[in-house]
Amino acid sequence: MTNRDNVAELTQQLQMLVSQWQEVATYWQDEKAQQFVRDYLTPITELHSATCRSSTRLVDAIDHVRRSCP
Amino acid sequence: MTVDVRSIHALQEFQHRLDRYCAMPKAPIESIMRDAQRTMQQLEDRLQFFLRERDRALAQEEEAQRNLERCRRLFSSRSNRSGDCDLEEHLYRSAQQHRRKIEEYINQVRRLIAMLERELISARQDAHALLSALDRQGRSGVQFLQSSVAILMSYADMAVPQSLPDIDLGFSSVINTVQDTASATVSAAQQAAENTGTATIDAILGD
Repeated sequence: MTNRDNVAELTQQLQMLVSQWQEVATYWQDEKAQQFVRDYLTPITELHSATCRSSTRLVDAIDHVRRSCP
Repeated sequence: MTVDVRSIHALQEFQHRLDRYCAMPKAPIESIMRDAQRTMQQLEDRLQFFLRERDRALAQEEEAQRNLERCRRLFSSRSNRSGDCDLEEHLYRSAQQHRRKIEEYINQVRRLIAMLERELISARQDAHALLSALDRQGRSGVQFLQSSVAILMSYADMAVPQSLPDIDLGFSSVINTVQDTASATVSAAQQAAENTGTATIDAILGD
């Protein structure tokens, strides 16, 4: 797997989690659900999103190094 | 607090998915980090190579300079024909250019190392935060869902007697499990709540 594949996989994992949650959220809408989103889901998805962004920048940097290293 | 869970099965399924998800990001993250470390090592090796090359080029340049000065001294003592040192002059200029080119490479590699290091530190911090959160909050989230599902399942199980009449307890709980295609209706949940002697579900679901 290339680095781009790994970043794509990371992004896909996040998208899948969010989409699976959206499905569940149509069934579960009480205060416990809000608590779950606030205490668990949001922190995790925000960190995952940040990891996707910084991993993308890192992979861009690796590609740049390979292109321009003398 | 009211409970509105229309599909315990969907919640249970999400609990399993969240459990699986928690282990997923580690592999691609580690793969990217390994490649970044490998690339960093290659840059460090390249830097060391160019530093050794610069030392060699510097020595060549100094030698070329000495040769040129020797030549100039030699000819200045005989005549003023500076043209006689053209070759030494050319070799000295070439050695200078070579050394400068290598120094440019060194600066370029150092800039690449700094850039890669910056991105590596940032990505590593984010990855560490995510993996720690998955280990901590992810697992807690799974347990949170697990206990919620277990409690709601116990309601559904207690609601099995079909002949019990619907009793309105005055709260809007809706439990509709699709597991085994059986529905636990409002009255079932209310009946279950009454059977356990707890009037509200949130007393059980509460922290």
